[in-house]
Amino acid sequence: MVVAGVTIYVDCSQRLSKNYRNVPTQLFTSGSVLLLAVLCGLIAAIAFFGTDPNGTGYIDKLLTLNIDNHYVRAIYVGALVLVLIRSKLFQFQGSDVGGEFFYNLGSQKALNSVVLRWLEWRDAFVEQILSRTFSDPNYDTTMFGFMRAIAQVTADASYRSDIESQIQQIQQAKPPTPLSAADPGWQLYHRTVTRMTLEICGTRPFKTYQ
Amino acid sequence: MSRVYEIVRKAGRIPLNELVLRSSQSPEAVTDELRMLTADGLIEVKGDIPPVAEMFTRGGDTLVMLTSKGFSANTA
Repeated sequence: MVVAGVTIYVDCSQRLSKNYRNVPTQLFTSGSVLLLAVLCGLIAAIAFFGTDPNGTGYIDKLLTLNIDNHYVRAIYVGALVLVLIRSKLFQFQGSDVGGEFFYNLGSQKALNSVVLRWLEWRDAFVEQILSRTFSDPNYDTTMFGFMRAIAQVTADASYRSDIESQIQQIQQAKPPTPLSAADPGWQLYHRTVTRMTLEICGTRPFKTYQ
Repeated sequence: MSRVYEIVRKAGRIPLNELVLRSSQSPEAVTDELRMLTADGLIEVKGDIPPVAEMFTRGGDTLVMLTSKGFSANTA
């Protein structure tokens, strides 16, 4: 059950990181992700009773298992819970029936709740840190450096060019007036730089401003 | 995929003036794209879209965000 729960967390984390790379791990403690992990863990626990040491049980055949040791078999069933859920369990009126539809529905709801928590957290973080960013006259240059460094180690060429293009666009909008925390133009500039840095690099670049 | 949508997709939710700042398009072009994406049901705009001349000053009160359809497409 524990292995299945971890498998679900890993699956959710991987799907989320495709578009939201820096969601803090503490946001994964969302109740909906926990509920999904527990439900899938229960499915794996029940499925374990459909196995036997000789590999002749229904679940053994479904997962092509033939493992004598109970503990190792339990770990395998837990790790393969997504295969189990996505398997065609039976046919009804010519259509395949399995758990994938329900898993996708549940996992999307769980991920949406994590993303919404991340957006609320991120917006609050931006507002909380904004005034402190004006203490550094090179704030924007430093943050652009972090963003470029992260983009350069990414394999995705279109992502790299997209980041560079956005950075250049933002740089063009830098206010020509002296740095001022009270100037709305500077506030917009620093807010944009901060939000984009959070999206690309996470919170690490802000350690000196916290 | 449109540039505006790509930025909103990665940001999840973003004030309109920041969106215009980050896109390489004019405020008019961004507004047109927002209308199309809203019609497709992928994003929603919370608040009024201000006139182009006031986009940077008043656009911070307007939020552009993914709809649940947009979120689901993002995490599928």
